[in-house]
Amino acid sequence: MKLIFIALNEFKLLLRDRPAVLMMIAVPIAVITVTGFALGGIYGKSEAFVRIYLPIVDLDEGFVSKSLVETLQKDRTLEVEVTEYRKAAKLVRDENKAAAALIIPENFTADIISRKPVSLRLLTDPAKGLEVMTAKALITASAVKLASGTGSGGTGLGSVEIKGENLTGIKGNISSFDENVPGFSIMFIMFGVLLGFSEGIFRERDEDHTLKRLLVAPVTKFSILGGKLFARTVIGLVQMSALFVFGYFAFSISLGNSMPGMFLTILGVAFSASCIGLLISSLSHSREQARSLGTLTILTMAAMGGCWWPLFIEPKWMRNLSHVVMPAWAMDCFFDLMLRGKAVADILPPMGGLYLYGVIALLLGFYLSNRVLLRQL
Amino acid sequence: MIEIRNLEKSYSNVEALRGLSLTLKQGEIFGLLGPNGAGKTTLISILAGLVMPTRGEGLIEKKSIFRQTGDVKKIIGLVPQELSLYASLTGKENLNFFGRMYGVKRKALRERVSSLLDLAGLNDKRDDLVRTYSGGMKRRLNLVCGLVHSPVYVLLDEPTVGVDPQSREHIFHNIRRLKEEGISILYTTHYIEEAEKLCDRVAIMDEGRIMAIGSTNDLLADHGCPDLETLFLKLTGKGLRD
Repeated sequence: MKLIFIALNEFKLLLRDRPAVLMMIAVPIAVITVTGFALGGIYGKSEAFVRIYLPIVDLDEGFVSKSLVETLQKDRTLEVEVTEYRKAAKLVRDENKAAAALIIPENFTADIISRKPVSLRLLTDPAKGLEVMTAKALITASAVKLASGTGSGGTGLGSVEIKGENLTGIKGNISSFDENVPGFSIMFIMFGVLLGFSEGIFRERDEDHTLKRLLVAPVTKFSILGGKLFARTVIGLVQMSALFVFGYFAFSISLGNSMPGMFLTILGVAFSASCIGLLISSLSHSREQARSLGTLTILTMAAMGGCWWPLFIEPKWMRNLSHVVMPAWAMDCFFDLMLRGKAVADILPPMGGLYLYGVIALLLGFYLSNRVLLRQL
Repeated sequence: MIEIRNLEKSYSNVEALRGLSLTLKQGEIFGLLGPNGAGKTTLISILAGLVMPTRGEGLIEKKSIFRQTGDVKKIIGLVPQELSLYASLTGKENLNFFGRMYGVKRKALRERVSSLLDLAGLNDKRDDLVRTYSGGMKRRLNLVCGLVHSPVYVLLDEPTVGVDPQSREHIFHNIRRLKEEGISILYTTHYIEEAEKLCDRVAIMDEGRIMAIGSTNDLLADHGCPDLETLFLKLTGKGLRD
């Protein structure tokens, strides 16, 4: 019987902590919802189906090449745009809008009809490895189908070759680690730094009571919060650097050509994560609330920002929203540096986005800390 | 000297202080007595610069507590009611850190920390983590952490809660030593016998107001009470407050 009373008391205690109960439901619902929407495309729901943008340059303009373009246009996985060479190359190399662009060479139709071996050129951005692989498979399937239809049959099937040309990459083979090391590092830095900051400050305020002693000393609030943010940023920097070094030696991930770029990006992630931690603390009333809100924020940001999977598998509306969260800016920086071999000067826009995110969180966090976090002493 | 005039503080619909005025003279121990919710901690928080009053003026050595906070904080030491210590640091590290926060120079701090550890009777435990300290040791360290910058005024918010008689005696001894050094002390407590024993003057507070103020002997004579506890209950009533 006492066991029952103890259990009932546990239920009562849990129900008294309403924010915790709410978060018990809200956190998984948010993660399930974001994940469900993000992965909706690969389960074939028409409106959310994965769409790969594929510029095509038809230098042949014969009936076979036009048939190939039409076949590819009918594929609901592809979003085809027929364009000219310079624009196609720019979309892949400079704008990162397309993972690949298909170049149908001159005499393609004539060569197919005369059963000569033909090559299709695929300009690629290896930083979007999975997307390139998918596009290549779809083009191959269409080309094979077309070759069968035009009567080139068995001999023609093997003779359509797709030759990839990396326009941006610095590394031939990209492994899953090249995507996973930055993605999961960002997520775990957020866990360490963001939750570390927000839980730490509540521990100092409500359990150790040392924040009170700091506030009565001739120390500004800027110094108190700034000192804590600085420490968390350095911890995040060291932690993330260690993960990349491990990735380099254990899995041969690319670190790109710009060490200053990698340093600044890692610093930006650690800084922004710390500042988001301050903002989370300033929006919370207790350590438990900060923990729940922080976890919700981290998991949602990781899912939306491309830490768990490449963004191209998400529906377009989610991809458009991805840069609302910090990890998307960080992933852009890492891919540009590690897989496209860019320099710091080339990644100023995403780097600016990453730091701006931190600065906005910092200013909001400082402003709100006066109203909630530090006022409740 | 600390002078407080017509201090008022409201929290949404609660009036914590209602036109409170008092003076703390140089080198005296001033006891602040009152039931829970009387406004003692609010007053201490205002004097320490943690909370701004709704109305009123406060001066410490003729400097405004609310406008010259930087200067005032340097000469005030707060010993909070809660143990305000880093449990994962040693006693010495706690003192060093808080000393740095008050801008105490390295050499002076080294000497100050050593003398405060002596004062707290913790010199042999100086390098032990605070989490390994007993309740009394933590209380004694909590007290000296508020003295690390050699303040002229010390605000002691119930510094003897939960300590054994030996530690309490030790704390009393230290408070008397501070008085001998010319330090002024504002001492809040629920233990009326502590106020009788230690304080030069006491004020009995209730509902944000001072109900009576003066030396213990004068108050007892004025109100015709045999002891301070009888006077306290006479002025604040016997009804439960929380």
